[in-house]
Amino acid sequence: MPGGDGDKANDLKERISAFVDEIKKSNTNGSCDVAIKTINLLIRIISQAKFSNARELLVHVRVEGMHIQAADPSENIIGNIIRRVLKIIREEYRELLLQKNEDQVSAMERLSMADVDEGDYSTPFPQLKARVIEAVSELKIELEGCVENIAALAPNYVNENDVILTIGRSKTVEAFLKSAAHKHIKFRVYVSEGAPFYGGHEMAKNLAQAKINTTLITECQIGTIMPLVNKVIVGTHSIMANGGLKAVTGTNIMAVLAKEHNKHVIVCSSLYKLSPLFHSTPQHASFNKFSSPNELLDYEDAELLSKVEVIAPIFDYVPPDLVSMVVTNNGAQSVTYVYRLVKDFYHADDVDL
Amino acid sequence: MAPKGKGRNEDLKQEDVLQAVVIADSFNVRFGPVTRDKPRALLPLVNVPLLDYTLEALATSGVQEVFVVCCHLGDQVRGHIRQSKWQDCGSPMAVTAVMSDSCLSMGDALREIDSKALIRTDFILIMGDIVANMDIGQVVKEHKARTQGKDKSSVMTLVFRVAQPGHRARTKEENMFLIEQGDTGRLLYFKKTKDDSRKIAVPMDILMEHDDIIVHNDLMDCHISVCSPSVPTLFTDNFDYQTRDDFVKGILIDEEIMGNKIHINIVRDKFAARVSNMQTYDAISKDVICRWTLPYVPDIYGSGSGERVKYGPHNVYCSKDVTLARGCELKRDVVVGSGTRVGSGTDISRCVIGKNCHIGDNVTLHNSYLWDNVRVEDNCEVDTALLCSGVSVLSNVVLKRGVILAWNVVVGPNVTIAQGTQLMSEPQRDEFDDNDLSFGDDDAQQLQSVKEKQGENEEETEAESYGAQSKAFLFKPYVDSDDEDEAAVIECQWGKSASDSEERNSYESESESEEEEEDSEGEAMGDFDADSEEEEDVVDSALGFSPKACMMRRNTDFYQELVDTIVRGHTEKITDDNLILEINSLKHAYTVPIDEVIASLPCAMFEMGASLNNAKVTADSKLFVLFKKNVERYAPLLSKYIKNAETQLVAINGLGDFVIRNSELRPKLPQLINFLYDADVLSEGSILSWFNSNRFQPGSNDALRHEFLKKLVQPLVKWLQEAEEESSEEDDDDDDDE
Repeated sequence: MPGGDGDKANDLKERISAFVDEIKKSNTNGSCDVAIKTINLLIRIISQAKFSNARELLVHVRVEGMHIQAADPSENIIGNIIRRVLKIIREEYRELLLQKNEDQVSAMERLSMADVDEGDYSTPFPQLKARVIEAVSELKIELEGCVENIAALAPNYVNENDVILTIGRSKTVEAFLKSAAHKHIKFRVYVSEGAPFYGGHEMAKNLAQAKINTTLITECQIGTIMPLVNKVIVGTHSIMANGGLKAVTGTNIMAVLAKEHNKHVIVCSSLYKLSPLFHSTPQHASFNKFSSPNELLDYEDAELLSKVEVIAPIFDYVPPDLVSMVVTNNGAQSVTYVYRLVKDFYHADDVDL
Repeated sequence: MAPKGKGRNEDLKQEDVLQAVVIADSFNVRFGPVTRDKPRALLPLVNVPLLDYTLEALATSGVQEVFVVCCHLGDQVRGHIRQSKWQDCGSPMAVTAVMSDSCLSMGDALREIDSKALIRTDFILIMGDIVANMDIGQVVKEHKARTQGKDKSSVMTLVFRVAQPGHRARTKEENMFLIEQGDTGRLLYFKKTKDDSRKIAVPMDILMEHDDIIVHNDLMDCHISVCSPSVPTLFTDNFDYQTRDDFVKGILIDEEIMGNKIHINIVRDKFAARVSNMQTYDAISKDVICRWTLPYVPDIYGSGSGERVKYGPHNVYCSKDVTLARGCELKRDVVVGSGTRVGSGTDISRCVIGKNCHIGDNVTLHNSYLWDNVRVEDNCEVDTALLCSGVSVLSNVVLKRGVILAWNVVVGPNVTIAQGTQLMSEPQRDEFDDNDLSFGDDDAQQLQSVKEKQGENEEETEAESYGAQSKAFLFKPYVDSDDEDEAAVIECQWGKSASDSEERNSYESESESEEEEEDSEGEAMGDFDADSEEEEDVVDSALGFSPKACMMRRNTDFYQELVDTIVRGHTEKITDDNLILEINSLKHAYTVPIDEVIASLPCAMFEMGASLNNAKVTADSKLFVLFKKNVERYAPLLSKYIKNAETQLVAINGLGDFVIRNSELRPKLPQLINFLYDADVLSEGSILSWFNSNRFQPGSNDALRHEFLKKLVQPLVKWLQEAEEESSEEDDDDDDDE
């Protein structure tokens, strides 16, 4: 089809700007949705990219990725996915390089050639594109199955007659608890409503519909409920390399209280939420998002408006020592092991995009 | 939201494309010297041109086609649109500039749109200086549902936002009062209340015709409206419509003739506001900084693509390459654009600073707006001021509250600029030209000539008062028509508005007046009910009820005119048909409801007899004879109005009011009714049903009144009932009931 390339490029541009717009307006439907949309875009970007070697592809993906990430630096799942894809490109290149070397050297020398120096990724491989796309598609399938994989682990961590406390709405935690209920485990859930966004309301509704004994509480009640609770199960927006969490507001106070009462804090999180960045202070642009004061105050209230400063942060930082365990789609991990996972998933050169 | 396919325009039917018309001109000079060189839509609000906020809001609402009507300095607006991201191939929205330099009002702009036949379907009409994060698409959907459903005649849905009187985003000139029909959201009455008057006059037919109304004083006009495709045509048909308010008023008044209706939509938890003057510019800037307009806040929709604005505690936004010297302090609610340098010891709070500004050492900036490339040298003090692009404030200058320095003004060094001063970099032309300029074409040559004309002495003195190196000329707000006068007042208010006391005072007084108008409707209508005598206000001991409270409100002027008309008709022997026409035109002239006409007619017949004989209304038997004659003579005319059971009840009630008013006639009420009955104007059934009706609450004023009238009519009814039983000889005994 004549002009097909131009059309495709326009189409891609349109898709990217639509996604950027969606991120800017926070119209997203959960982090899994963001991850899958990002990877779909990256597959398109790679398949349309014209490159002669791996280095050019890396630069291309990085530039396009930065553009998407700039829409909202605090949505670091986008960055995580981009880094995973960059790592895939590097690995595919490495394997191709190894194969090529294998062809050249004898079997004798192969043993000593277990490792290979990638150099500057400039060796051209025509099959690189196809292999990268295949590997990224595999990653996409992995992402799509994340929540189910985590949910499948639920019976190991939810016991009969448990009293569980959670906060706000997390699709992962919801699936996790539903899966436990599905295995005929009887337990009780307290859902903290997660003011001012009240995600807990929907969470409690969904859990109750799944015939789980659910009670909705306010944040103020966390302290009084905590002694009755066996374990705290929360979702998170991202996990940092030190094991700290960036999770919905209220999670920190809940974790502090759980520590005070010696209760376990279990975090359910897919591995794509693992971030190599460390962003724990408000000084980091990527750390927090601030919502509209509309959540807390009526705009029509003329008297108050000019006199008060309203701060409505969306996330809390939960330090790693308050977290007992992370349940991922690859199984449960100790918090102290998270740094190791980060090393496995991301290439050191990609940490700074 | 799935990205739209490349051929989205072909995929969609033409009618499905959501269109919007943006009016990128304010048609006034609220911003004084500032809008001389740049249209208001392009003024930066927190470093982003206002038009961009409007277009973003439209894009978010799912609008696909936008027409921007550019008038004053239109080529600047067009240039801006050409460079905007909406021209990219991937843009979900097509933005077209419509040039029409000759437009002097919004009405002209819409007539232009109509003549180009650009509108195919319901569209959004919006000003080019709106900041909003609401979903206007939702309003369009509601409007469509209405027009396709039960209310086909709805032509416009106006969007309002809840904001109590005295709210910082509400301006005095926008204070308004409106009445909404409770269940449908239909707009019944709309009035701008320019002064803080405590009384509001409401046409009484609104109160009488509708059971369920909501009176609003807590709304702020967002200047967003959803219009049916017929709206531009209506503007063309009515060439006197200048503004949307004219249109709304016109539609409401002609509602009965045209059958068009207007509905309103009230936004509660989203943001929408218009930058209409300095006060709202200030207020909305603060709202943006305080994130009310999320997602349109500096760190998300900051300055252009890629450039990151960092958000810090206390609402401090800094672009990446801002240079802050040691010891300078950004206290709270501050936005600093890229490339700006701030010197040491400088103290900034509640300010917006544009790109590439230079702020010296030990400067105090408070509550001020600095646009791009502004230079403020050492030791200056700026409080509540607007400094346009390219302004230089040399060292040791103090700007008092409410100062506006237009493009490229230089002031200082070592001067104090008085409160509320507006300066510009070129001398002002005389008033007539200035008027021209603010609306339309810019004429540099004329400017030159005026500059020459102006005495050099004057220039020198001006230069001195604004500092030795200054390049500044005083801008005198144009005070010719009331509109501009008001602008000046409001501009002054901006400077003062920081002092809360004044704001609160006005708020209190306004809220009081609101209460008043809500709980005493009777008083609100006092203006119309001029004949209400004071003694009637209390319970009349003779009647046992308070007549004023229950009598049908009537317009005495109308009544008098009606009597005069009938008398004239009688003496000049005008035919019934023509008389009906005259009465109908009276009804429209005085905007009285039809019920009042019906209720007044029989009484007018009686008064006619009196006035023909130059007598007063008394129980004189001569008058009764005349009344009988007149009723017989005008029976066909009366039957035109009093045609069914319902209207007959109204007529009887009207007579009831008449006799209550004229106490002498009270015993004669049965006779009056009987005359009408004889002339076949009233039927026996409706007299009886009026007599037996008990729709009033027992013990209420209305019920007491009804009881009183019943007592009067008792003999007639008794006779009627007997006559019915006998069912014969009805005509004989007229005198029985006397």
